[in-house]
Amino acid sequence: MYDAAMRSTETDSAGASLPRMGPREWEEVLSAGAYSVSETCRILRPDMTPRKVHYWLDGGLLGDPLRRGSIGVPTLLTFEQLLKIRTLQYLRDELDFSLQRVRLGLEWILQNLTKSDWHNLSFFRTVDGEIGVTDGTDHFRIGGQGIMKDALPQLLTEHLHVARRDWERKAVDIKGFPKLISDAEVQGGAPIVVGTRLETAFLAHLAAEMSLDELRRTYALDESAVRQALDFENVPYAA
Amino acid sequence: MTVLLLDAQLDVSTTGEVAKSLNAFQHRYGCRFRSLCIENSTLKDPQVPGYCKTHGIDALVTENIRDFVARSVVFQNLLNVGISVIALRPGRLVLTPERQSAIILKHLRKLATRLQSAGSPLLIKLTDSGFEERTLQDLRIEILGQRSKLP
Repeated sequence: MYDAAMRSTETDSAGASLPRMGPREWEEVLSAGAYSVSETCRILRPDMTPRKVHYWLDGGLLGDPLRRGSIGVPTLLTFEQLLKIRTLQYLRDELDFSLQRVRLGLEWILQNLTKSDWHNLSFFRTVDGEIGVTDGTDHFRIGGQGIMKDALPQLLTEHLHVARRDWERKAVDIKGFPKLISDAEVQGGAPIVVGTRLETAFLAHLAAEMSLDELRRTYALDESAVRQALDFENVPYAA
Repeated sequence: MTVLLLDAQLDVSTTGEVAKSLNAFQHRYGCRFRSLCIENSTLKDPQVPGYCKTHGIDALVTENIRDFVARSVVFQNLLNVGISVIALRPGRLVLTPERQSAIILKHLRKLATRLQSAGSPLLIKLTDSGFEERTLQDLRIEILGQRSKLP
């Protein structure tokens, strides 16, 4: 079993907060993506809300933000925190985990999600019906006794593997918009058209005067990419 | 000749019409424009300063349609390697390719003079009606969150 000390091994960026960083460190962290809470919710749409993000931040599940917001200054999150929020959302909303009841287990998962020596994290059902997680040599009990889904361990394992893949490529897909992506190293993580540096927000800005066909021709994009960008931004367009 | 690179979201990626229109004045002002969307549209943010440095770029012309803090790091990294940054702010206008040309052209005389006379990289905010120089210190203050606005 892992003990409580394991919980202190969180990767550095999640625990860093602005007052403890110099300008150079701050720039390095920001260059790996910086997400406002509203941007995070846009990327993790449709079910993520600022209220949930702040609740999890205030509850300590996500570590300190890059910057705590105040009036006119948005709270900023790292790419790692974006992945953690997505994982929490999946566990809570799709697998029915009670975050309060399995808090320690969730913290363990979140901390190990981005560890450099993470390789084969997988989940299993214990003999008394709880969910456990193992890295191949050690295991940790995370609860979830009341969750009856037969495929729960497999679903969890698959989700964690997707999260790990996204951590390594520093990008997340945007649900329902296969032509869009948020890449932490392109336009600072703003939603873009896959394979380009074109922000959906910039295409939406142009759509005020340019038709869908003009946008498509201007940037040599296929029509579905432009449509998805404008739909994502809730911008009406003329064909 | 001062070389300015239009960022990947500017210009028309199939024809480079914005750069072409501005280059009609290259001998008058000693400024030549190129387009990242034609040269390399898939660069990652950390690669942009190195690309500019190795491809003889003196200034990156980019846009800033909304305040986005991560963008300021790209600006800062460019300034750190000696590349000037010119940020187009649309105000109430839409930055269509025609308007990109028009705004830059409107300020091109002053822009060329400043870029060619400056001893260090500049951070310039261009709007339809304004030309405003910012400093690295301004940007640093903004990055550190004491103010929320970017150039």
